[in-house]
Amino acid sequence: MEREDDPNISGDVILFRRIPPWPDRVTWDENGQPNFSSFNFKDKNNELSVHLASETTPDEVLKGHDGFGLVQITAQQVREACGTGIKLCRCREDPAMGHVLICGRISSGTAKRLQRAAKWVEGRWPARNPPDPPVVPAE
Amino acid sequence: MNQLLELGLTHSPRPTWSVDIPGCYEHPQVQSLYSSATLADTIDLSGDTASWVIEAAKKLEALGRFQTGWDSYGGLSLRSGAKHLTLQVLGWLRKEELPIPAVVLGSAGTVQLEWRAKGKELEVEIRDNDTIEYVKVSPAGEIEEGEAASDLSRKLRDLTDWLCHS
Repeated sequence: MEREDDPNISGDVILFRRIPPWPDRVTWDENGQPNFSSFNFKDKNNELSVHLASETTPDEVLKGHDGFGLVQITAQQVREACGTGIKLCRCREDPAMGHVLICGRISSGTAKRLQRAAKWVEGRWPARNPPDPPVVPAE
Repeated sequence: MNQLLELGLTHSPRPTWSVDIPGCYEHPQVQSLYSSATLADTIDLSGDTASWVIEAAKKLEALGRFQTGWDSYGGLSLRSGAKHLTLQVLGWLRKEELPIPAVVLGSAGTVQLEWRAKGKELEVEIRDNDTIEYVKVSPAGEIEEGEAASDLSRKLRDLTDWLCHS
């Protein structure tokens, strides 16, 4: 599907991204602080889902995703990290909660820059003892 | 010894392995995966294999059970090619003294190994097509990235040498 950059997403717009609690998308350091992996900023289809903070809430984004954490990053930080190779596009087929796609290939270096720019939404760390992960039952 | 056999790995006699699994791997359902015998791939662990290799192999085994959609964004389950190449990587690096890496499942079913040492960071994405992509972060925060499609063993040794010795 052809995606169109949304010029109305200005630099100061805050974007939310869910962070799974399972190994090792988040690791915990010796001070008890969670660190999210840069791999949270890569998508198999080069369409990284985020949500506009102005059109949703942390509770909405995390609803139904027990144990997940939430990070935030501004549109300007995304553009600075990714350069001209990406577009910020409204997700037309699933527009709820300000669903936006960061369209374009995100290299490992770019993912690293996104990781370093992003930060936890206050009070929205992932669970250190999360619920059961979605795994195939052991035989 | 039994752990190695259960992971499908060949081995030579070694001291008792630590099973102190940090962080989220303590989760009961994930930890239970370690006792399964589903890892069909085989790597040569003869000789002085570093203990981190065993810990990383356990983590990889656990990742192999995650179902499609596990990340809430339609993330794929572990791809067989990525799993196989990750085992090869562990075999190539089995004698290197490295920290236990984070072993991260990607949206595309690929694997990323992440190390931190001496103020540096090294991340290696292991893809499904026998290629890798890597990123190095210096103590000053400078980011260097690259890809490799051939001579992966040598490239990985160069990268881990940079992490631990340069």
